[in-house]
Order: sequence, then C-alpha cells, then structure tokens
Amino acid sequence: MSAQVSTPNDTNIEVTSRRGRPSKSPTRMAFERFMVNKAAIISTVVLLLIVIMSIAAPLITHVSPTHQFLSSTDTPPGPGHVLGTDQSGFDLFSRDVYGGRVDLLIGFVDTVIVMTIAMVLGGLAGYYGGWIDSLVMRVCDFMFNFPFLLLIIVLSAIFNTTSVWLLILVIGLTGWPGMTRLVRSLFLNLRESEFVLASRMSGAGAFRIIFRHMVPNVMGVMVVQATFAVAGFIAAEAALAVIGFGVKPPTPSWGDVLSNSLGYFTLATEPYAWVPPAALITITILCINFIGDGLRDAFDPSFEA
Amino acid sequence: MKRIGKGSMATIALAASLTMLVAGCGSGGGSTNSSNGTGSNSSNNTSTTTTGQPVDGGTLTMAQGTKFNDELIPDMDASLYTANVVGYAFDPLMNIDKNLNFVSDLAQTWTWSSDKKTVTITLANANWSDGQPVTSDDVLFTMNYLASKAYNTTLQGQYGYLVGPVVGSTRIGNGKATSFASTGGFKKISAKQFSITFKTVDAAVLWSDISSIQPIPEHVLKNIPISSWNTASYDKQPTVVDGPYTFKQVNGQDSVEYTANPNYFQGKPHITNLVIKTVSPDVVPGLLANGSVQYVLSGLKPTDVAKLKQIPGIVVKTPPENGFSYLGIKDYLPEFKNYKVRQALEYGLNRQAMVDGILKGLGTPISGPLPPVSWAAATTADGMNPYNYNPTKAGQLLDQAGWKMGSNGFRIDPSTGKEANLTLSYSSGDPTVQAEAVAIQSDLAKIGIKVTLNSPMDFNTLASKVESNDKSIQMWLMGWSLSIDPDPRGLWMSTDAFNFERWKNKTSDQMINATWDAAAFNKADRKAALIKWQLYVNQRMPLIFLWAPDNVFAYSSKLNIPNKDFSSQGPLNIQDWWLTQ
Amino acid sequence: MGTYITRRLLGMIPMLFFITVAVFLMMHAAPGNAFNSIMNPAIKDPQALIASLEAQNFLNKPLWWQYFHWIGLFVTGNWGFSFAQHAPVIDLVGPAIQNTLILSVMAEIITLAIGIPLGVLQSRKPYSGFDYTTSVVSFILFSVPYFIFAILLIYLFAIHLRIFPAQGAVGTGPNAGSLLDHIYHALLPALSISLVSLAFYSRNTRGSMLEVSRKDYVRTAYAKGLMEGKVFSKHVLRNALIPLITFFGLDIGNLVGGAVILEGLFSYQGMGLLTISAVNNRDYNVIMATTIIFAVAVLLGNLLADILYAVVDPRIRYN
Repeated sequence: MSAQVSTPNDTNIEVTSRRGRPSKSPTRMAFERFMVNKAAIISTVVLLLIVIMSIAAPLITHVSPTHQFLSSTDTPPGPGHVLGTDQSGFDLFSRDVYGGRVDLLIGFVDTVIVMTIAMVLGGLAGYYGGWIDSLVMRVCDFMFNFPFLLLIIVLSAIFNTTSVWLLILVIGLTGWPGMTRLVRSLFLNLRESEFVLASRMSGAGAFRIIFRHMVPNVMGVMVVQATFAVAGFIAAEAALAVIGFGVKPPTPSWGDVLSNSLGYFTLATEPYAWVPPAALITITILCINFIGDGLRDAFDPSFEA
Repeated sequence: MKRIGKGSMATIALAASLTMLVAGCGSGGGSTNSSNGTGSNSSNNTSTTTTGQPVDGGTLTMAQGTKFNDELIPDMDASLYTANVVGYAFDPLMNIDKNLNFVSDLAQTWTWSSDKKTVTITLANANWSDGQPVTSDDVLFTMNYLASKAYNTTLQGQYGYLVGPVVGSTRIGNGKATSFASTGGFKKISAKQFSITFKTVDAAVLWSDISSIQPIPEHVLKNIPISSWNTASYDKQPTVVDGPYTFKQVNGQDSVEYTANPNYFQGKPHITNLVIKTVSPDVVPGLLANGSVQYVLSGLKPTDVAKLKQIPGIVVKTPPENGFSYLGIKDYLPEFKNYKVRQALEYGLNRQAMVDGILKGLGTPISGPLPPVSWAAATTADGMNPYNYNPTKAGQLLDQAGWKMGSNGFRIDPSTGKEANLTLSYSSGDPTVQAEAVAIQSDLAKIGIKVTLNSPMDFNTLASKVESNDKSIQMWLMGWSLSIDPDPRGLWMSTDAFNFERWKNKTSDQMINATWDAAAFNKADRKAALIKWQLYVNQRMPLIFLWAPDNVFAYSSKLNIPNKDFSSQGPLNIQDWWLTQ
Repeated sequence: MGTYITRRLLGMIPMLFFITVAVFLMMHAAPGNAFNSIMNPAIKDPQALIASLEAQNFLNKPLWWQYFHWIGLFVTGNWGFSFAQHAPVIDLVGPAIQNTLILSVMAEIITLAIGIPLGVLQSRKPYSGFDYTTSVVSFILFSVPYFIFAILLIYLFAIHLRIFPAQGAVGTGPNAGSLLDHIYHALLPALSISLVSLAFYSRNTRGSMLEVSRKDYVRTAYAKGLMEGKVFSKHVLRNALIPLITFFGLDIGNLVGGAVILEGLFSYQGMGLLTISAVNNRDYNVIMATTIIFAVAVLLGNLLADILYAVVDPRIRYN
C-alpha cells in the first residue's frame, strides 16, 4: 500500500476505476477537488519534469557526472561545459542533472520506509493500546534522542562505505518516530468508532480490521503526511551533504554540488555553480509542499471556506 | 612567530579531523611554480611591503579558519590554532629567520661542550610583562612542567617529548624526581645562563626539541599545582607574558584581544592592538575583501588564490610549505614488495597535471622525503630522479616486475595470479583530497592498474586503520607537515610508529643515524649525510611522493610586513610589522 | 498534576539509561579513538604516549566497567575531561549551552512573534490578496533549506552592508560578552532559522484558526451576540493555539540541540559545533554529555507540552 504513495494521482485513479461505481466516491471527489487547485497541478507537472530529467539524465547530457576534467578545473560556462566545472574538474551541469537521482531516491524510498514502519508500529500501538502502546511510544522517545550523526559515522565505519543505500537506511531508521506517533493517535481515535466495533462484533480478526478497515480510513491523512515527508528527506540530504555526511563522492547529488559551492568567492562570482542546485532543491521541495497542501484540501472538504 | 617544529607538527590530516566544515586546512595546501623559497608575490601593490616609514598604532585583525581552545599556557593544548594564539604572547628559546635558519630568541647564544652532550645557553635580556626578568629558573620550571607526571597524565599533555632527551626526564615523568636540577639534566650557572645535558650525543636535539620550549613565569605559577593548571585563571588568560603582545581579553573560543607589550625585549611592536578571530573558512575571503580582517592565518583554499589576487589592496603570498602530500602504500604487502612496482607508480602519476588542475598550480611535485624548501633537500643536481610523468617507463617497470597485462587492459598481480585491484582510502571533508583520489585512479588505469576507491572516512577512522595495519587498507592519501629541522627520525626509521608504510630497511636506518651522530654537528657534513639518505629513498620509493603544497597567506596591503620577516612558513617578528594609517 | 509530573520525571530515568548505554556502545563500536589522530613525528614514542593516554582515560578497561565508571562520576557532577580540547567537559558545555540558548530563544521569539500574528491576520480574511501573497511567500520560505538563507544573510548584512557580524557569539572590546553583544551576534543566525520556522507556524496558525472559526461553539458565541473581539480572543484564538503546542514542545527539545550547519557557517560556538567536533574526534565524554543534555531537553519539552495542553484545554486532566 505504501508504494502508492509515490504518485498520489495515479493512486486515486486506480482506486476509483477498480471500484467502477458510477456515483462519486470520496476519493473521486478528493481527486476532483485536487484538480481545481492550480498551484497543486502546476507543481505536479513541474515535479514530474524534474523526475523525468533525473531519470533521463543520459539523454540530456552526454558528459559523465563523475568524469574528471583535470586540465579544465574551475572553468566558467562555455561550449564544453554548459555550467562550467567545479574545483575538482567535474562538469556542473551534468552533476545537477544526475544529482536529482540521489535526492529523489532518498526522498521517496525513505518515505516508503518510514510510512511502512509508522503504519505497522503506530497501527499496532493504536489498535491494541496497553503495554504494546507504551513499548512503541518508549521506543519512539528513544529514537527521538538518538544522535543521528554518530549513527552515520559508526555505520559507515563498520560497513566501510557511505553509499546511497546506507544513507537511506540511516535516515529511514531514525526518521519514523514522528509519523508513528501520528498513526497511533489516528488509530486510537478510530479504535472506538462504530464501524470498527461492528466488524469486531462480526468476528473479524485484528489483521483484517487494521488493514481492511482502519488503514483505508487514515490513508488520506497519511498520503498528505507522506508528501511532506518526501520534502523533508530531500532537505535532510542537502543538510547532511553540507556537513560532510552526504553520499559517497564522487556520486553527484544536489546537496553535494551545493555544499561545494558555499565559499565566498563561488557565491559572489559564480552563480552558475550554486544557483542551479539551490533552485532545484527549493523548487522540488516547494512543488511537493504545494502538492501536499492540495491533497490536504482535497481530502478534507471542511477545509474549504 | 610561527612555532618552530611544534607548530608545524600538526599533520595535514589532523587539521581535517577537527571539523568537517573546515575543508582544505593544510591538506589541500597548494603548491607553487617556484622552488626558490620566496614564493610569488601577486599583489598589485608590492611596494607597500618594503617602502615607507613604520608608523605606530592601529588595530590588526587576524582570522583563523578553525577555532582555538582557550587553554593558553604554552603546550597545554595540542592544537596548531591554539599554538598560533599563544605564540604572540610567549617567545620560544629560538626562532627561525626568513630562510628557516634557527636564530636567537630568548636564548641569545648557545655553545656545545666538547663531548657534545651538554649545551650551555645564555638568555637574552628579556623581562616578563610585570617587570621581572626571564631567568634560568623560569626555563627550569618550564622543563620540569613539560616532564612532570601531572602534565603527561592528568593534563594529558603531548609535548613531554621536548625535554625527553634531557638526562632525568624518565625519572621526573614517573614521579621519582621533580626537577632536572637534581637529576643532572639542568645546571643553573647564573640568573641568565644555564646548561642542559642530554642522554645521548644528538646533532638534531637542539633544533627539534629544545628550541621550541616557551618559558613560563615561575614566580606567577609556582604556587599552583601543575595538575590544576587547566582550571587556573592564568590558563584562560595569561597575565604575565614575555612575548610581543599581552592578552587584553579572551572572548571564549571566539576571539582574543591583545595589546602591544611595551617592555618586549626585541622592541615595542608598532601595531598597538591585535585581534585574532575564529571565522568560518567559507566567509574568510569575504571579510578580507571588505577589510574587516587584515590578515588570514589559516582557512584559505588554493581555489581562493586567483580570485583574491584580483581584489585591489590585498597581498597574496604562496610560498612552498615545509611538508608533502603522499600516496601511502603498505610496503610489506606482496604486491608492493618489489620496489620497481613502487617506482612504476611514481612514474605513472601525472603529478604536475594534478597540481595544476586541483591545486591551481600551488604546489611542486616532489620525489623525495624533504621538500624543496628545506635547506637539506637534495636536488636533481645531487642525483635525485624527479620521476617526471612517464607512463611508458611505468609500463616497462611493471613488465619487469612481472605484472603482465591481462586481456582486458588491466595487469595481473604476480603474487596472486589474478587481476590486480588496489584499494585507495582517503579522509572525508576536503574536496581536494577527493579530487586527487579520482585523478590517481584514472592515471593508474592508464598503466593498467585497477584502483578501487573506498568511501572517504572521517580522519580518525582512517588514522586508526592505517596505524593498526587494518586489512582493508592498501593505499591511502595523507600528508605530513614537517618540523623545520630535517631530522628523518619519527617518520623514517624502521621502528618508527609513524612509518605507516612499515618500510623496514637497514641501509636506510644506518644512513639516518649518520645524520645526527657526532660528525653531523658540522652542518655541511649533516647535509651530505641527509642527501645520501634522500637519494636512497628516492630510488627505493617506500611511499609514492606526490607534491609539496604551497602555503597561502593573504593580507591587506595596509599591513606592512618587511620582506626580511617573510619566511616560507609565514611572516615572523610581528613587532616589525606596521599598519598604514 | 504534581504526582503526574513526578511520575513523568521518574519515567525519564530508565529512558536516559537506555539512551546512554546505546550511545556508549555505538561510540565504542566505531574504529579509532581520540588519540589515534596524534600524529606528531617529533614524539619519539607515540605508541607509549597513546597507550598511556588510553590508560589514563580507562579506555583499556572492559566496556561495562567504563560505562559504570562514567555514569558513577556523571551523577556526582564530574562530567570528565575532553580528550580533544584538554578541558573539563563541563567548561565546554557551559558556554556552548549558553550560546545555543541565546540563539534558539531568539529564533523562537522571532518565530512566534511574527508567525502566529501573521497566521491570525491571514485567517481573518482568507483568500484575500494579503492572505494569498503572504501564504505564497511563507510557502517559499518554508521550502528553502535554512543554510541557504544563512549564506545569503551573511553575504548581504555582514560582508556587503557590514552592519552585522559574520562570525562568533561575542564580539571584541569592552562590551564583549554583554547581553546586548550576544543578541547582536545571534541575530543573523536566529533570523536564518526563524525565516523557515515562522512560515511553518503562520501556515499552521492560519489553518487552525480557520478550522476553529467554523466550529459550532463559535457560531453559538456569535449568535449570543458577543462582540467580535471577545469571540475572537476567548473562543477562537485560544482553541486554535492548542495544536501549535505540540510543535512548541518539539521546539523546546531542539532549543539546546543546536544547529550544526548554521553554527559552522557563523563560527558560532554552540552545542551543534561542540557535538559534531566531539563526534569527529571521538571525544567520548563530550558526546555523552551532549547526548544526555539533548535527551533531557527533549523529554522535558514533551512534558512541558503536555502540561501546557492541560493549562490551555480544560478538558484535559492528568492524574
């Protein structure tokens, strides 16, 4: 179910068509409300373009983002290099184009990881309550307090790598407590609702109640939260890169390109080096936030004034 | 005023370990097209450094890219950045001059006994800032502090080695004695004259160790137990000093304010106020450009140099550093045992192209253990092979060593019979080092050697793995900043802990011993011995020498530093500097 | 309420125990320690020096011994000695906490003082030109990584206009270290944080206000003929702020955490820089101290948020 998070529109369409009812379902109505939100629609288009650019990077530039042009480091934009090269001799345009792969991968995969953990743990805690609830909440408190940077250093030293997947793992393993608390509170409310009581009376098992009845009910809120989570993880990648805990170089990422351009002279005299990655990060996050906002309005009709 | 020996001991990589944010301190370095030791003066405005009459007054603001620790008793803290702060207030026994020769400072003269075991030192007519004279007792007090058990254990001091060669240091260190005066290591002759006796005859000991001692005032500190010095108010802001500047105010780890010491024995400094600030390396050039900072002590990157030169009113100097970057290899591994393989690696790296591309030309390729700036460095005229880039020759050497080319363009390691795949490790935080790693990988691929880059690791992890002979380490990138004295011990003896390559070679050891024995008290003989040893290292190539980077110094043209005070390791004698008002 | 608070405070103890054990084990699982980076060729016998430093700091003892030794000293107020900075940990943590608190309290004040009124104003006339413009602007602010703001602020105010300092927590001269000096130095970094979080607060305030204004009890209040101002302050605003308390509670935990990147860019010696340099240098005692401080702050922040809930919302009772 979590996989559907990645493209909310498709999810809605799919759900509707499968049910195939002529009358408008709540999801269908939500979808229609989303479609009239101009900012959200434009954002979706822009985000799709960025995703396509990252995936189709080799079609956009033939220069490898990890090829070092040792004889032309720090060059300004010119024929060979659309946005010039950085101090190591890497082509900046190519790194900007390819860099989105890492950022988007981290954003989406970590969201899936975090939503999955949150659904399972938060769902169990909220459904059962009692000692399970206490235990899960204590683990949440524990993870909230865990020094994240220490975890990265230790894991990268143990595994001898700081690959994208290690970074995804660490962010995923430390990012779930907030979402878990949210799911738990939603489930706590739902637990006492009439339709859950009804299905319990009719002898449905816990598994069935959770996944057939409760999960679909919180899906709307979760999709919205997931969108914001994607934006948050992309920002986290950039921040990690700036303090030197980003993905293994020379793998390109927007955060990496940006963090190499924070020196005074680059900022003052080489906008072509730092503006594109900064803009790509900001635009991506902005689009995702607009989409999330649009989804929230769409799923919660009471929000329309 | 740069600390002799001690100041330069910090390794390149040590600086990198301080914080990830500080990219490029030291290790990036830079290097230059010139090897004459003066560097290139790029200013549009060179005249200001030499002409005009000194004017008194003004405030000089300096910036460092890494914070200091507010532990300001000399030698309490190991950081280079703390040593910079301490160095303007405390003078060492000996200083260096423009050409890196040792010259008088607090120690006015020194003479060796005929058995070369005892040196007699006469102190200059220097006073503490409270008017008391700097005496032999102060030197003894300082030596006892450095050797004491409290300093070496409770305070975890790292400079006990400065007095290690003095007779009785071991007994003081384990608490069996408290003073060199009672162990026979120190003899007070008069208030201004004393002699120090060493355990062995050693031509390097005066330069490597004793010269760096910075006396502290006995009359101020004698009543405080050494073990609690780190909480004494004197440690946070020393009140009585003997250097050109006295502490006015220490603002935590943010900045230090000084005023000129009117009683400084080498003359009252022209500049009245001095400020050292900690500034992020990303911001340093901006503050220099807008005039908030007049001199940058550390934190400039090679990439900043060309841009700084374009700003009017800024002087940039890039003299060669007394240190080198290298590609480390574990010499005992079967793949590196044959020195022809090591020579092939040296020939196979286009070091000049890397210097030009990555360091923006701010460095000099080297092929031996002493950088060109050292007085004892061997040159091609002495017979050094420069190992100019020559992939053909590298290929031939590999063929001779049995590294046959495989079908897919990569060579077969004869010790395993399989395709060679060397791993290269380096530390994170500095984009320059990473660029070097990528360049080395691509150059070695051209001579058929496959290299895999490990993920960059933080410096402590790399250091621990290199030191402990970790199996995952085959080759690594690091650098050394060397002490002014060219003594090879510490890095190059077979038993040295910092001989990370584990190069065990009796011939080299014997040659090193000849550089500090009784005969080496004659400088010419010592140089001859050092050259002989360098030629041997040059031929055996125990590690792959890359280049000597350049230091980057930049300051406002309003700051006038006499040419005689500009050594390749930085400007000296701050009391001679002055500000155009 | 009193017993509730006591129970919560006691509940923190096992949590702190588990956190410190876990951090302690993680730290020691990483290869290398603070002394591996001593690389001074002038030291004749570095291995002996390193061994003696390790023994001095009990690094050669079993891990469980080290842990209980550390915690035994910690609870008596002896936080140990920093390996990397040669100073008692408490001397390092003290100024760092002070700096970070000044910065984060200022940031919080700016955030709340602008964010909440802005959100309220937007909600008074939803979908007006004002609401639309400020919403879009705050949305953009919210989406820009805060270190980009920091860099732009330094560039504009410190380097170009030269009206604010680019570095440090205190200045120089006779006023160095005064409260005013601290505030002057913390303003740019505080602003960098606030620009992002005030967007977040105004957004949530607006949403919350709109939602509450539609509630039945608000309609009832109007129907009763209450004055607009009275309904607003007594019924709408008070109820709309309740959800924001959760965010505020989370912020409190972060007040002492420090912002690593920001502090690095401003060379601001706070908890963030202290923590990251301790992690990089394997400065165990400092890592443990900052971990505990951070954990206590987060747990207290949660507690405070819960108490504030009860204060603001009379329906909530703890016993």
